Amino acid sequence: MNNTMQKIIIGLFVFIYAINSHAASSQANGEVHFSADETVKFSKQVEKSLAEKGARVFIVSRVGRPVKELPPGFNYTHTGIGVYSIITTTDGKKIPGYTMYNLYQKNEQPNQSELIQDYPVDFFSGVYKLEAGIIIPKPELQKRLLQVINSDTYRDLHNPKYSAIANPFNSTYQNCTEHTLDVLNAAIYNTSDIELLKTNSKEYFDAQRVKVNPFKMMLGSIFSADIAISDHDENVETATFTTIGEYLQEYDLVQEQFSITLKQ
Amino acid sequence: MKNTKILTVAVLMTLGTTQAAYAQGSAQHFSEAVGHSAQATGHSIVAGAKLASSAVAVPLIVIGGVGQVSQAAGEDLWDIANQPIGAPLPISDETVSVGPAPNIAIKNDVQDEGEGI
Repeated sequence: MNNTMQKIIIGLFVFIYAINSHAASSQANGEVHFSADETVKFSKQVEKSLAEKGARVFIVSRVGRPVKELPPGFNYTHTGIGVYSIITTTDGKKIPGYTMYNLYQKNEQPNQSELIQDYPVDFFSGVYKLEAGIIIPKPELQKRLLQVINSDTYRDLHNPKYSAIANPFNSTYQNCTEHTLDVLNAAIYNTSDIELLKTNSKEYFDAQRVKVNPFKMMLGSIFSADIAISDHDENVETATFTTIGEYLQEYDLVQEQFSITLKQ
Repeated sequence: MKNTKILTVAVLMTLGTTQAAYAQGSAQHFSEAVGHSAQATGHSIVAGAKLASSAVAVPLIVIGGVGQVSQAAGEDLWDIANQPIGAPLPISDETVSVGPAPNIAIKNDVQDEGEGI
């Protein structure tokens, strides 16, 4: 083997090493960005802010990853519904506070989801940024949302087949924002008929186009169980906290919309 | 010449594997970036804080029979439940968290039992 061949081989291994390093650094799971005290303080701040406004039900979102890593148009990474509740603690105390109603992707099976109730401090644990997106619906919609959440419809609207970019206009897959949209529409139209809900979504709701390099999207659908593109036509579109806000604003169903960041 | 061929095949195989790993990393990154719903990783993150565990929570409002709070819950809570939407609401200073997952809870119980023996 001559010197030139040796240089080529060394060069190739350096190239391989560089690619591997990049691949490893692109996976950032489970990082802790805030102390327990900061998370608890922020969660209580969110609760008190909503309680001062008398919100019985609100739509809430969190920032789980740096916004610069999200596709254009995505500002939040998870959306759920907050409900003012009486909470019975394990030691028997009854205290007033908010409960979060979520569709969460299963950690062990990322292409499956489940409906989970937790609390603000759980909801904001592990976030990248202490910021909450909030939509307080008009009182009539709050009342109707409570009726849906307390009925079988809330669970009936859950489709456990999960895709992070689920098409909100059909029932093939579902993500947290699509479930939230379905619950909202069930409350607005007073029906649990999923076909009717999807028809109305197609007519009145504008989804967020997912602007991602098609090659990257294809890789995502091949290598990630929680990314499906088979439920989409030409354009990949999904529901987001922002598009849900725009939808409710357009039809005059919002009492107030704002974001909350940690008070220093 | 033979050595060169073997090396070339080895390098190409390594490159192939690496590209697949890179593709998977990239895809995973995309998945995490758009994944709205990954459960908060962080019950352990707030483990250091003083939290109360919740047994159950029900909406605190009475609208046309909706809401499971009754007068038995106490006069104060009954009054809150019947306030109109928009009226300021009290919030406990206590911070409540969900309990551990069943698979963790059952291990804790076993551990406790073991310590008691």
